Amino acid sequence: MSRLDEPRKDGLGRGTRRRARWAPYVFVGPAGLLFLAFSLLPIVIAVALSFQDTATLGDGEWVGTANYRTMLGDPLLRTALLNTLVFTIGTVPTAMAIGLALAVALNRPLPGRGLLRALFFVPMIAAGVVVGVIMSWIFNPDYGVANNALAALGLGGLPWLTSPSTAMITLIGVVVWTRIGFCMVIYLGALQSIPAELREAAAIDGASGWQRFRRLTVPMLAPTTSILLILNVVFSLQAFDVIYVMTGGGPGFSTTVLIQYVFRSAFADARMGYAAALGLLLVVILLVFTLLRQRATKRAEELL
Amino acid sequence: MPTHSAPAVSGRGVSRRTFIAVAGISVAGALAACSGAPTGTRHLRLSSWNIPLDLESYQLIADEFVAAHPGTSVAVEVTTGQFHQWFITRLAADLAPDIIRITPQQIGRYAANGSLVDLTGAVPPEYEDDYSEPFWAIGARENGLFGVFQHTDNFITYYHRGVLEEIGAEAPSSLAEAWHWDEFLGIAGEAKKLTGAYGFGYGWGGPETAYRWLPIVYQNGGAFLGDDGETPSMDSPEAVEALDFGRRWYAEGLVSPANMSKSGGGAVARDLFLTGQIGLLLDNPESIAALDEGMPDEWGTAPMIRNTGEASDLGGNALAVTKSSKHPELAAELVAYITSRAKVVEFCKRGNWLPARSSLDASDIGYDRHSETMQRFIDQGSTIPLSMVRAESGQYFSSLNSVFADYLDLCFLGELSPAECGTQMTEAMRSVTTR
Amino acid sequence: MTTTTAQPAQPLRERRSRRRRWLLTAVLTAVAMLVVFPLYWMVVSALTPGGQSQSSEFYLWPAAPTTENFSEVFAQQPVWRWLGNSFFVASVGTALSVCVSLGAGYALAKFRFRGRGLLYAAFLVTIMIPIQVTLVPAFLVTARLGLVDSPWAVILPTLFDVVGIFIARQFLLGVPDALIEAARLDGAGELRTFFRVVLPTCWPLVGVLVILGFMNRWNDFLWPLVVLQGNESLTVPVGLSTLTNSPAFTSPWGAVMAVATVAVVPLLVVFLVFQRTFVQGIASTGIK
Repeated sequence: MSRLDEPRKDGLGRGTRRRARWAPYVFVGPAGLLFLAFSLLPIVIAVALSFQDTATLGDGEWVGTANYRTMLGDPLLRTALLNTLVFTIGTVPTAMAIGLALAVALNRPLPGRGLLRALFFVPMIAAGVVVGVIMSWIFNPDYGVANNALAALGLGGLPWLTSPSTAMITLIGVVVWTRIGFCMVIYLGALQSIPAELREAAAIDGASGWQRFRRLTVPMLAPTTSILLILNVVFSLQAFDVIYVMTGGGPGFSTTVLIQYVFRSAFADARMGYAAALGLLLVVILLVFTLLRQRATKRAEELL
Repeated sequence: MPTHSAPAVSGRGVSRRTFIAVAGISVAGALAACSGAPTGTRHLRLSSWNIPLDLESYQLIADEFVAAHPGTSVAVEVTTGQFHQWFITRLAADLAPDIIRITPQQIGRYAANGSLVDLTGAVPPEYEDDYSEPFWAIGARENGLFGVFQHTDNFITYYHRGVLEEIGAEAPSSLAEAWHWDEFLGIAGEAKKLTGAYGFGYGWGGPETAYRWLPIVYQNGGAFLGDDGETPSMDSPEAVEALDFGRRWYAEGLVSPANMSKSGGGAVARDLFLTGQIGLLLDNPESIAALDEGMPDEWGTAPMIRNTGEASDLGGNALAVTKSSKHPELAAELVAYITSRAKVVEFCKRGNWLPARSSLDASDIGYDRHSETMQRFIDQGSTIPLSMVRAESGQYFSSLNSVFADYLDLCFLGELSPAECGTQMTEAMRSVTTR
Repeated sequence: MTTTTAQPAQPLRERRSRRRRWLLTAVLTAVAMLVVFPLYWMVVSALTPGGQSQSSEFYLWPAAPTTENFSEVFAQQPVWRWLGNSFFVASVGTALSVCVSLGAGYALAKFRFRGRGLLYAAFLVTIMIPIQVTLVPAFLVTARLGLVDSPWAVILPTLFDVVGIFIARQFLLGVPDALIEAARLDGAGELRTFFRVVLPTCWPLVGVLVILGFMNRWNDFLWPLVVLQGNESLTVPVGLSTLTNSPAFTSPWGAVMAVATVAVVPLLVVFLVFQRTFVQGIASTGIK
């Protein structure tokens, strides 16, 4: 993940031998215990649930892989997976590209850049529920400010959330909006740790702004991009509140994504076992993505 | 594949055993740590929706109850959004409130799966005589009484006085004269011309309230579930005709596409009415306060629309005792007290709700305002059909309601024809009821 | 460095670059306005009297702004309590969680011990599990520990913060081993080394962890929703959810907007004050 990740040759090995055996366990202990109690144990129970037919927890029967087999023939799951794919592809690269552009722009000595940085980060501050509430208000086609503004400009209103063909686009826009600040800040951090001499050297070599960006900045940012990509995919696959509040998965099935379907199975349908299986499917998708991504990065590094 | 239909009466024991098997945690004595009540005092918790006037009413009534029952105490708490998520989680750990205020659409699953306590012994038998059959059926099941309907809430027609005058239409004043579908759409079409936007609105309140449209199906002699209360029947000609009627609302531009069950943003139809973008509104009494504030004296009411049959929305709430209660008898007694005739009067007066008891009318309650309108709502309550109540308070209803919401959307948007919608919805419903 | 021929071009290029800089600033300002607009609109809606906010007229500032929505909802709901609870849960939770993350990050970055790789991988996998699936089991565990219905039920189970541990580890990897070695050669024990030598280099990291942790805890919704009970004990987002999103009733929209505003403004203030520290902190943590 980082060049700091590689084992150090400057004395760690020697030091480790002399250091107290118990020390690492004391330092990692609190996190480990909390992890055991509040993460691992619930996950183990959830895995067990996915092999049961149960409404809540406990009163279920063991049904083997029935929940997993049900998935294969579930038409709603297929729709949800497809929507999830569209949503993820729509949100992740967009948010990252805008975040990168803003970071590059705001890394220059511009007047008032501190305030500008803060303003771009502001959307991230609002909780998903709050964002959903505000946005469904703004995008109401009949009295929302978005269409009122279009009307004041003499343009017709748009069916932001009321048509299956536009609702997903609007949602993607809203989620990108909440995400750009985060991507920007992380990229800004990475940009500031690129040594200034490198950039100056490139400038002296006569590289244009775009060339410097392509040849120098982008490769230097690759590890950051890699982490942001994985985090953003995780965020997108788990984006629930905003969608739930704004469209409830509709109109029709047009914005029903996998996490929406997990929620629905668990609580509206009271099929906790099936929901657990669906949730684990989500985890498997994420794991596969992460591993593929890591392999791709490694291969790219080898090629270089 | 095993089904959920077997009532899990023995849920508690099994649940604990499985939990141990899975998690390997010793249970002994763990529950004792959870009860926060001081020893000796029997403590009850009642959870209601966060409506300030209602919380006040519950606390006042509970205080009287406590005064008459030394050694008890009652705390009134609030139920958060995402009801099922909150309630299922709480029930799983036996930490649900003792008494829960719950809608007819939510109660079925919990009554069927052993999460609620049978109130038969605690509720005086004469209560049943003061309830219509449909309203009693919300809590009463074959194997016991799992809730008492406290107050109701249904739909009538609000109209904008100016709009109706200009159209030259007369608002019907009695149930017998209620507007029939075609008549109503005719007036709505005229209203659309006057408002320049839409004709009317329907009072949905978010993705979980799709069921509010079911009365339309019953108005046409259709049914959501067949006579056995289990077989999906949205593909009947009557139901399909109702869907076709709904499709016309949107195809003819009479209702805003933002005014559908799943769309968020609060009470969309009410806002459209308040801003003069629609001339008619099918909605419940909750709109009264907002209309009084936003457009006093400019609105009037008429009965809910009808077709070959009559029906209106089944709103309101029941009170039920959960299996988490350590003092179920005491809790059941409190439920009986709150739903007694005198207390229903008190509760409905303060909160502007409709009484669920048949012997109460608007003058008994003594509403501060709009007594006539409230009486209209009470009268309309009698049109709620028993089979619709059975369907909505059945054990699969929250699942069926999501299916209903999905396909209603598809039909209204024109993605599916009413006939296709009826067939596909029925099929999807069947996969729920035979799960 | 400059040649004579380039000499006259210099002022022109400088002027052009200055103009470009202002142009860029103008464009960024315009975009920033658009980005901030939804939150601005939330405040405007909260300040708009009942009826006007739904009108189809376009306006940017209400004709007659009023704080009526605020005074009404503050009178009817225990909003101050919600704010107090959020503040308590977020600050205590963040403080403890930062300690947990620092410890774990230090162990994972600077020690070799049995199971380290596996433990770290297991930590990382947990961020992929959707909360909807583990909600009920996690609640059961919390309930068996007797924590439910107290603020500790919100605080304890969320102390384990994978992103925080990840950031801490990244940062601590960059702390020179020589520093630690030197302390040890001086005869300092493990704890002393950590507190006296390692911790003082960590302040930028702590700043980042505090801001991110506080923000996440302030906005956390699903977990507090199930473990808290009683209107007086709720946090702001959960309190807000009791006003929206119920099939049984609808709250006045003005009240909803007022609570939403109250939920966002404290964080906004905190962030505007600390944004510089935050960005510099992120830069020094080496998330890359």
